[in-house]
Parts: sequence; C-alpha cells; structure tokens
Amino acid sequence: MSRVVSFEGLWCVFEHRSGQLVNALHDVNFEVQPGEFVCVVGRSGHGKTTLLRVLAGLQPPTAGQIRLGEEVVEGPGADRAMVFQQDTVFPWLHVRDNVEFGLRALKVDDEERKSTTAHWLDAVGLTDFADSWPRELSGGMRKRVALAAAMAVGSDVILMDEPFGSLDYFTRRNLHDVLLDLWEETQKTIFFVTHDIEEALILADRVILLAEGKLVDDIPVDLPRPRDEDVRASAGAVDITKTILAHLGITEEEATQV
Amino acid sequence: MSLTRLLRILFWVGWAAWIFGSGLVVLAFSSLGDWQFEEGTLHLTWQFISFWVVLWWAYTFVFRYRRSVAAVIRIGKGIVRLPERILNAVKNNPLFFITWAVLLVGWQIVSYIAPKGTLEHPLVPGFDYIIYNALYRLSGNWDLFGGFSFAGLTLQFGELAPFPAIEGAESRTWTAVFLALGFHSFMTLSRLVAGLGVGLIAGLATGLALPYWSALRQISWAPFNFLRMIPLLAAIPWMQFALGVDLRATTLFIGFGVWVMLVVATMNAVANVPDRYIESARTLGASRLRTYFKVVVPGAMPELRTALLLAGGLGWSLTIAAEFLGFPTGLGFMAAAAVQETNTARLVIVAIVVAFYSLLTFYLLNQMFNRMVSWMPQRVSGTTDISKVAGAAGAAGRAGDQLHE
Ligand SMILES: Nc1ncnc2c1ncn2[C@@H]1O[C@H](COP(=O)(O)OP(=O)(O)OP(=O)(O)O)[C@@H](O)[C@H]1O
Ligand SMILES: [Mg+2]
Repeated sequence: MSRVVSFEGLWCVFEHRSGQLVNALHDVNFEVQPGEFVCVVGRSGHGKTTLLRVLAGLQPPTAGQIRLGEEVVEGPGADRAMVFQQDTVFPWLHVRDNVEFGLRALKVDDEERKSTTAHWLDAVGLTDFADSWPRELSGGMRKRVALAAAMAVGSDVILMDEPFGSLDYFTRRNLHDVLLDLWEETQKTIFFVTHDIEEALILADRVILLAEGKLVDDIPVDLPRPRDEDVRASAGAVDITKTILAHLGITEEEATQV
Repeated sequence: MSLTRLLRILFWVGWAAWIFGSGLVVLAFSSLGDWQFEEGTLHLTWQFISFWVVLWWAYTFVFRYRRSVAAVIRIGKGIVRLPERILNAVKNNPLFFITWAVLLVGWQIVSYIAPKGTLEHPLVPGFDYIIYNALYRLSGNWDLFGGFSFAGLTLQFGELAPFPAIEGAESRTWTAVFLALGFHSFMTLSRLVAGLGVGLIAGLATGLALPYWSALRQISWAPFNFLRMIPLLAAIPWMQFALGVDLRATTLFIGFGVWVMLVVATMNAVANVPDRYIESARTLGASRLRTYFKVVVPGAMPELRTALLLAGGLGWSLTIAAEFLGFPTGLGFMAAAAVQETNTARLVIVAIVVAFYSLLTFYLLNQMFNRMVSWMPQRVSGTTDISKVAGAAGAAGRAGDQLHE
C-alpha cells in the first residue's frame, strides 16, 4: 500500500552556539506520488540532509508536517528506511545479520526472514560475502550492505542521503544500475539526495531543488530510460542541467571550470 | 525457545547440580576418599579432594566429550610448545627479556653489596635467601588456619600436610609451603571473585540502566562523580567498624569500589557510541529497547572492555588492601604479617605471587573480551607502531608550518 508523501509548510530552524538562527528548511511544500524517484539537489549546507532527517522522523520540524497518506510522521519507523551519508553498517554483525537486522526487529518469522535476506543479498551481489565481517569489505560493498538492509524491511519509501558520494565513478555507476533495477522491481518511492547533477539525471523522475532551505524549483525529468550517454547528451537533458545550474547560482562556464 | 538453547541451559543447570552432587558421591563412598567425621570436625585428605575434582570434571567430559577432548589436546599442545614459544618470543622481542634478566641479576648483585641493615632480615634479600629461607619458612603459615566451618561442618585440613611447628626446621615441608600459599591465595581469590562479581554485575547494570532514561542520567552524573572521588583506602577502617571482618564486608567494599568506577566508565562508553548507528537502527524499525541492547551495548563493547580490565585491576588492589588491614588470612594478610616482622623477603614473595595472579586474571579477561569483540580488527596489546603515529603527527605539524608561512 503505497502512499502519497506530502510536505506541508515545513520549517526547520536551528539555533547555533553563536545565537545565529539558521533556516535549514524554509516553508517547504510539495507532494510525491507513490513509486516516484525524487532527487533532492542543492549546494552544501542548504538543507538536503535536514529534509531527509525530518522525513525519517529523526528530526522534529520547527513548524509544518509531513504526511504519508493520512498519517503524520512523528518518529522513525521501518516504513521509511534510510541509507545514510556515513557508513552505518554495524561492524559487530556479519553481513547477513546486518541485512537481517530490520527483519528481526519487525519479528518476521524465521523462514521468511531467511529467504528475504538471501534475496536482497543476491540483488546487491553480496551472496558470497554473507558471512564476512563488514571490516573485510570495501567501502562500496558496505554501501551495498546498507542498501540491502534498507530494502529488506520492505518499506514503500526509501531515503538515501548521498549514499554513493564517497565512492569512485565506476562503483557509483554500478550501484546506480543496481538501485534502478531494485526500484523498477519494487516500485518503491525513493528520495535520493545528491549534489551531483549527472547522478540526478541518471536516476530521477523529478528533481527538487533546495537553496538556503527553500524549495526553489521542482523539475520533472522526463527523459527515456535507460539513461545512457546519448540520453544524457540530448537537448532535454542539457536544458535541465542549465536550469539546475542557474538556480544553484552557477553559470555553465563556472561549472565546467570546477 | 529453540532446542539447542534448551539443551544448553540444561547443561549448565546439570553442571551446577553435579558440583554439589559429586561432593556428596565422594562422601557417600568412604572408600573413595579418606575422610572422617569426629566431634563435628570433618577431616579431609588429598584423596577426597582429588576424587572430587575428578568427578567434578567427569560430568563435563561426558556431556561435552568432543569439546573436552579438544580442550585437553589444546592445553597439552600448548604446554609442549611452551619452550618453543618462549624461544620465539625471545627472538622476536629480545629487549623484553634482556630487561627482565638485567632486573633479576641486578637485584641479586645489589643483595650482595647492600648494607644488611639493622633488621632481622636483609634489606635487599637475594633470591637464595628468598627461596631457601623466606619461602621455606612459609610452611609455618599453614597451621595458622587449621580448618573452617561451612554449613554446620568444620572442615579440617590438618591432615593434608603435617602441621609444622613454627620453631624447628625439621618439621617444615615444601608441601606445607605450597598448601599455605594455595590456601591464602584461595582466600584472597574467593574474596576477589565475590567482590568483583558483585561490582561488575551491579556496575554494568547501573551503568547501562542510567543512560537509558535521560532524566536519570542527568540526575546521577554528579553524585557518581562525587562517589568516585571518595578515597577508598580511607574507607577500609570504616568498613570494618560497620560490617566487621568477614566475607560480607570485603564483598561490599570491593563491590562498591568496582561499582562506582564501572558506572562512570559504562556511561561514558555508552555515550561514545556514534549516533549514526542508533539512528540507522531506528529507521530500520528497531524499538528503543531493541536499539539499546542490539546497537548501543555492542557498540560500547570496545570501550567497555578497557573499563572491565581496569575494574579487574582495581578489584585486585582493593582486595589486597582490605586484607592488609585486619584479616587473619589471605595474601594481603601475609604481606601485613611480613611487615610486622620486618620480613622483607616474604614481602617480595607476596609481591611476586600477586603480580603473577593479576597478570593471569588480566590475560584471561582479555582473552574473554577479545572473543566478545571478535568483530574488531584484533591487535596484540603493545604492538601499535607508534612511529606511524609520530609520522602522522610530524606530517600534520609540517602541513601546519606550511600554512603559517
Ligand atoms: N543539528 C544541527 N544543529 C545546528 N545546525 C544544523 C544542524 N543540522 C543542520 N544544521 C544546519 O542546517 C543547515 C543545513 O544542513 P544540512 O545538513 O541539511 O545540509 P546539506 O544540504 O545536507 O549539506 P551537505 O551537502 O554538505 O551534506 C546548515 O546550515 C547546518 O549548519
Ligand atoms: Mg548532507
């Protein structure tokens, strides 16, 4: 039962030590349909993580609310599993137990738990490493463990905060394919934070642009899938890139110089 | 509950029952052990103890045959390989052994040239004096404590070795020496185990319970840091006035010291678990309680291991200190008696014995905790390559210098 996710007048204000007030989220309003792949894009420190944390229920908003269908988000729960920016794979559990963690918390019966775990380990290509310790895996493999653990709890909304930010280009591309396969298979709603415009073009149905906590633009990405090089070089894709860059306050020349 | 879990519980329950049962078995068949019961006094002999120990292990052997055999083989191999391992250790870390050799030889040399002093015993006793005089005379410590009462029975150990007279070398025996050492060690160890057990359990329980409720944590922080500042050694006489000189008093005293230290350490360890693990667990659907036991506790384990090892060390020093003041038995008593007699050589013996035991406890606890945190990259203590750290610090320093230029 997938549900519409609605952000209603969401504010999140932090007071820093210096007494300065920061509007991490500034009156954010939008709605996401079930099964949509939403990329949240913005510059560093402009509220992307905060948006996801509020949605995950880890951060209470200062004002406004988020609803899943009719239900108001009030705390963390398995219906909004999250893949974090940092490495959150539990080092004291084997890979398999990490993937099983949420299923055990949900008291899924033994047989179903085992088959679900095996399925997701296979989906992220880690079946051979099920009995390894996380420290024996590479950073990219650990990200896949986190992805499998989040997928395994069977939530219809998945939150991902720059999950592949620290990985090299090839690993990242590989994980994009893994993620898109999983998404097409399960039809989950995915919130994916990134500051990489190319990544957004590969993945998103829709780009939400945040600047200083404000939702400055909501850009539909109706490019055909799979989004190979040709698609990303097409006129439509270039337009979207230009729009995003303009909103971020960077001209294309500046961007290419970086 | 799964079947294996049930069997495991049955094993431990059965084992505990067998410890008592096997004692009764030996007592029931008088031919198994020479024991006599006269006027409320039970005379025990070597046979009794050895039969009992054999029977005690029999249960484990029968029910854990494969494991027990494997353990015996492992221990046997370990003993056989001991010379080889020592040799390897000498090769790998010659400095360690050179230091020891220099210390021991140096001590012996100093014992020849140091002034004898005005005491009955030399100020710096050589090893010849320590072993053939002081250690041998320890056999006199055997008859200080002839037996003890337990559940209405007085157990008499006198039969185990002849009671040596304090005067006269002819009645001294090495058996009595080792019985004396064993007996006093046993008394100290039982005080330690009781006190440490209470302290560890109470400390872990309190230290884990308080942070769970943030109000409790805030309320208790200041009082616990205050309690931690109490000089425990000064509290020993107070403990004796209030509780007397018995196992209950030492248990409470050691338990209190370990408890206070461990509560603060556990709360710190819990506070240092990275938030991201907790948040991740919560978004995967784990309840608060589940997150606490499945994420916070294992996450705190590496730091807890250090705290528990320190608690073990603290337990040792508190036990010896408590015995030092007014107990008639134990290693601390031996030390106190030696001080009274200005017997420096016996102090050296007690110091060596205590050092040996605390090293052994440290080693065993460390092995146990290593198993508990087997998920961490294992490092043998003392092998951190400090030159790497120094290198990094140096590099950071250089980078800093460049920034300032
Ligand atoms: N716990 C907090 N306390 C105080 N201020 C905070 C806190 N969390 C976030 N902020 C502030 O909110 C603003 C947005 O932070 P946020 O982490 O959402 O940025 P971001 O878009 O995820 O950035 P990045 O791309 O660097 O991860 C920042 O100005 C930050 O200083
Ligand atoms: Mg962020």
